[in-house]
Amino acid sequence: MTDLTPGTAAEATPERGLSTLQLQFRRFRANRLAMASVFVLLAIVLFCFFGPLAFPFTGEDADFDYISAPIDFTSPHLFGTDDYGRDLLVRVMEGGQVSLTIGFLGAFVAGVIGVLYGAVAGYAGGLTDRVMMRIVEILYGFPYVILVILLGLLFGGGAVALFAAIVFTLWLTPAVIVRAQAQSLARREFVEAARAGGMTRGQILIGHIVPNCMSVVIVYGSLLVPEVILSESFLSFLGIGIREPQASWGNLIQTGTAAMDTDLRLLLLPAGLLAAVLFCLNFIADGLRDAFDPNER
Amino acid sequence: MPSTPTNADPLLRVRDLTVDFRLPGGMMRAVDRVSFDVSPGEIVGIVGESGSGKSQILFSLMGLLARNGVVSGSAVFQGQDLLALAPAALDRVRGVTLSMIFQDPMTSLNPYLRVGDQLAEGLRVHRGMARREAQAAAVAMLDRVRIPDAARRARQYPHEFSGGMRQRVMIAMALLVRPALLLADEPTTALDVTIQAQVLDLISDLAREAGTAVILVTHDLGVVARLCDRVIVLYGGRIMEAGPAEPVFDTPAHPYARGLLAATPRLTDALTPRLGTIPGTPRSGGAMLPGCPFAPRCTVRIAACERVQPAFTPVGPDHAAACHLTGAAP
Amino acid sequence: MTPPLIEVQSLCVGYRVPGTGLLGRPRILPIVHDVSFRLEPGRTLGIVGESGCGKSTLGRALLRLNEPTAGQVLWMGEDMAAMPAETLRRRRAEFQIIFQDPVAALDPRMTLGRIVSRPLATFEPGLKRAELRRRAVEALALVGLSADFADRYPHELSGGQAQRVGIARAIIGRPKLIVCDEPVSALDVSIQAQVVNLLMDLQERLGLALIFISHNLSIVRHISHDVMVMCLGRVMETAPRDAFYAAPRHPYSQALMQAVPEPDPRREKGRLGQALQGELPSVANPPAGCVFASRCPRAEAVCHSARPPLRGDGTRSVACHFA
Repeated sequence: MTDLTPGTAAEATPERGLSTLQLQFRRFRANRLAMASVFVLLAIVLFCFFGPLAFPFTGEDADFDYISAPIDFTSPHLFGTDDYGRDLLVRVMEGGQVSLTIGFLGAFVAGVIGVLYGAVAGYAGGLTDRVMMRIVEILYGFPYVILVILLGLLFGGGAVALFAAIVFTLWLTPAVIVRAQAQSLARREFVEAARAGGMTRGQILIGHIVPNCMSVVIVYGSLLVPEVILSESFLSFLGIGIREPQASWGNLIQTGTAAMDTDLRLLLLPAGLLAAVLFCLNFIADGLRDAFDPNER
Repeated sequence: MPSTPTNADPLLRVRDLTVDFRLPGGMMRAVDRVSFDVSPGEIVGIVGESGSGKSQILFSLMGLLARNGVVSGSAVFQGQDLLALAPAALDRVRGVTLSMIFQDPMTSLNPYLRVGDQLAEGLRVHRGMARREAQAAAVAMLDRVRIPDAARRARQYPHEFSGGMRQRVMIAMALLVRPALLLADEPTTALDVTIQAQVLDLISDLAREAGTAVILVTHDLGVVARLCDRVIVLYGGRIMEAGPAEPVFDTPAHPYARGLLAATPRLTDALTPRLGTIPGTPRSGGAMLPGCPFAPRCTVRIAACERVQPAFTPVGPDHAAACHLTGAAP
Repeated sequence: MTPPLIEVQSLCVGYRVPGTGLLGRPRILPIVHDVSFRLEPGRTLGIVGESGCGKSTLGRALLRLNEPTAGQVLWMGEDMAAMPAETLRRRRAEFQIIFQDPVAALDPRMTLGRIVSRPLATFEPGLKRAELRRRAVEALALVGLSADFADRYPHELSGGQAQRVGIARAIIGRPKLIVCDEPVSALDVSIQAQVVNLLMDLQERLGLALIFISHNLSIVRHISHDVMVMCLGRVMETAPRDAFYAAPRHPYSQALMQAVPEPDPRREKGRLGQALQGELPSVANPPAGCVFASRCPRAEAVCHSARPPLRGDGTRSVACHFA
């Protein structure tokens, strides 16, 4: 009879390896562009949230001494003011707070809803899946702007309505993506093994399906953030969403565009920051996707 | 150093074939100084487990190595060194006098073309045959590989064929041009047992008839026993033992070959309470060890095995093994 | 006579195939037809057949991972269909499964220790983490893996090691039966032998019954007490191991034996040119009459029109008009 523990002699323990997560983290860290983008993004976030503390005024204080002042690093208004005498730099920072918050929070909420919806549909399969996906398809068909306007009227305008509208439309794509992922996972042997191990379908969904969808979710989620920010900017630009006097990059860009012929600076600062954030998020998303590449172990 | 004494006029003479791969972690050696000959019309089996490098030998002969692969050594086939040929020159050899079949027939069949057209293409391109003639030859070949209703089948697409039939189509494609040498990479591994038997019969039949030599790569000792005249046992990129089929199977000289035979379950012969095993796992990647690649798993190893690479010791006529202990009492 | 551990009566299993068209109804594609057998505790039944024979589907149906479309499975005398879902779920500790692709059977995001102990957390809730880990390490030791493996991840394992982990997970709840679905087909020959030996050792040590599903007749011979040959979802022959391999009765069994190449060049050279002709029949379009008739060298008119019943004498049975 073979020794019941031939393994201890013959099976050399593999070298202390890294968990999948650690391997992925390492790959991401090796990506210079992505890491640089993380730092830049972080810098912009800190700038927007803590920058205003450096100034004695807010973005809504009108300073009648300095109406439409140009860029002047010697004056208290470094980047000048707008028509109402409001400091541009602080307004841009405050606008950033709004846009970034809606962006990240919106992406998070849309992501969570999408993931759960998609995971349930993909794992359940059959009639449940078909019904759930038909609903998604119907919602996809809704004209976006009209939906936002309607929701805006429903919630009486402002940030909440904007948030609801954006999330309502943006959870659809993560749902579809996660559903596909969940479907293929549902067929994998380790899910069958979990069933054989007596786990309930709910336990399998939360314990096995969702964690294995996470890499897809994280990559897609990081692309969702710029989408939300852009949506918000677009809607505020249209005049729906964030209204004056509250600042957001969207409505700042709107005023900036209107004044483009005379005063480029009103446009450049918020647009420049928005562009920078979008670039960073895209590079980060690329980096995450490479890090999570399923072809590698 | 040749593992078998040089034949008078070998069809293929491989010397010191070495394949390395450039990996992020460094160079990985898959095949280490493999040398062997193939005589015209001979069927040679290269048997090994995963990580032995057996498929890489075929890929390097056909010029199909991955981009990060580095090959050295020589492989003289009909007067030309395959490893040193320019791509244009290699194209004149591949598909003309040197053919290959693979484990998964779908990789060499174009799903968008009818089967008959694909078969005929080889004849038209390489032999300059007229279209009608080539089509007729294609149908005749399908018939020869026992595809029923060949004329109708020639007009079908690959997805309409079963796995076994696709494999036969691939064999038809490879042998239609009557090559001097056929390389077969695990051609029956994915097939059911009864279909495998058919395909093995077919390869044997056609090869013998056309005088085509075959190098068959497999992990299945039974397949080697059924089809091959000579056998090369590969482990960790190096030849462990080589010789004619019967002596190698009857009296294997190398501990790995012995272990492999002991681990193979039989349909007949007395049953042992447990199967013979080889401890440990097959080598996978990494640098070559200084001594014998099998030493870590060898139950009869001596100190020299880990430090000094064993030379080929003749064990019988045309039969040699790379082991320090060959020649000593078994 | 000991009561059988599992008793299968006229089991039929099918797959739902989506219907065609907008309102097409899904239909059932039958895979397994009318299979019956019994398995005693501590014994191994080898189920052999080529692709499409339904052996994997049958294996899963026994564990209720698929729902049968007809027939009964009695587990220790109880009808599994009659068991309430909760009871069935908890009794899964008694019957387990190991899979063909060992690495795919492990959740890539979990450590091996957690993978192995997870079923235990379900079957014996209330066990503390430390205890779960201790039992996992114990199970790993039983399959020949040292305690360090508990902290590793599936991607670090070779095929053979991964299969051992799968076995550890299967035995942790001390089951009475393990269904082995082609457990060694994806492994190298030398590793196959290790895993087969391990299963046999565990069978002796833990009193396990095994249902060993494989297309490899030679391996089945080593591990089985009884053998069942399937073709296109039906049983062709059943027999005790030694009697079967000494003298298979069904023409299909004989063809299989003939086709399997053995590592014996002298014998094998004589077998060239004797392969059975014809293709495996299609599962979607089963023939009338005997499923093997289209390829059988002894087929006659009756074989194509009338399906032969499975007839036996208690220990052996054959489904053939002429055996």
